[in-house]
Amino acid sequence: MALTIGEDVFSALVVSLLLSIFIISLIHTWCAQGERLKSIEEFTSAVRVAEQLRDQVLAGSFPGLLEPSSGRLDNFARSRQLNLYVKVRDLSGTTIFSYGQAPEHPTTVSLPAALAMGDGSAKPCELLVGVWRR
Amino acid sequence: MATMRGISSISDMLVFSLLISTAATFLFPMPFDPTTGNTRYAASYSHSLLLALRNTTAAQLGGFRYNLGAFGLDIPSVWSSAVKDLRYKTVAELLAEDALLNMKAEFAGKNMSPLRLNEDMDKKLRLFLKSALDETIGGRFGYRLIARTTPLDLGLIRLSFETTVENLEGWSRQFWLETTNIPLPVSTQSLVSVTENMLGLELPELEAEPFIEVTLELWSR
Repeated sequence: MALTIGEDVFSALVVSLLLSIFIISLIHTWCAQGERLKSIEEFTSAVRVAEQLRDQVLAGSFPGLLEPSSGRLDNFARSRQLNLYVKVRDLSGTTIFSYGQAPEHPTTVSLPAALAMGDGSAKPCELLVGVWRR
Repeated sequence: MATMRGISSISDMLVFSLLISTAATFLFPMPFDPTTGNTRYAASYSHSLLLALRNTTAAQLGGFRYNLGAFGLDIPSVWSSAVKDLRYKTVAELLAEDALLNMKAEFAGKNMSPLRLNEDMDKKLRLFLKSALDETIGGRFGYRLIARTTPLDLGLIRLSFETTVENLEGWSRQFWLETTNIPLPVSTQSLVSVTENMLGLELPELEAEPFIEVTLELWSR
């Protein structure tokens, strides 16, 4: 069967088009996966920071007991070169302690904790932590 | 000649695109587990919750009080002075007290527990815990909290305690499990002595210090 120049060029165009579609979809998949991995990494990092705040930075006299302090949070954020947003609120949602300004789309983590009340009692609360790099 | 060149070009292009596709497939990123972040969070959440239960006092959760048993008699004057108010105790301390007051004694597999004067405490504590956990967890996870002592063998007598609080309606898969130990607020000698008085038997010493194992299961949909 004889092939014309036109059919040859057409075949080349079809193959190029198929290849282009394939490469574009591959790039799109890589980008989407990169975004997902990045958001998981940010979330895991926020969980790690929240645990450090609970166990060390804001720790009171017993493990899991919180004594919030803006000064200690300042030092922590500076030493880790992080932007930090911390909120402690009771189970009804009332804010008891707040530090930093929440950005528009922060990665935040919420952990249950107990807040030292100063009279020997401890109140159940929620520790909300938002973290993003400077 | 032109015909052969044309067919050869198409073949080359098809082989080329096949090679590119194969190469790209090898370079395609390995799939990742999307639940990695959630598992990490569940681990941290359950650990935090158990720590919070060890520290939170009952007063901050609405208080906790129960009626001491009076051999099943309904005497208002007795009841009014037999109310125990434990608002100053932490949730962990309440669990420990519940274990001590509601320990089950078995002799050769048969339940020997005398009149359970503190059943009211056990019942009210379970309601108290359920309310506290529902409010704290707030629908993020389903949960099951189990508090149990390891069985304490005293010769022919076996002491044990177990209580469970859960909210699993609509939750189908156990996602994470965390355990912590709470010491009982009495020494082994006192525990053996109290059991001897209760059952009227002489019992051997306990070798290990008894404790309560508190397990928190978190469930996902």
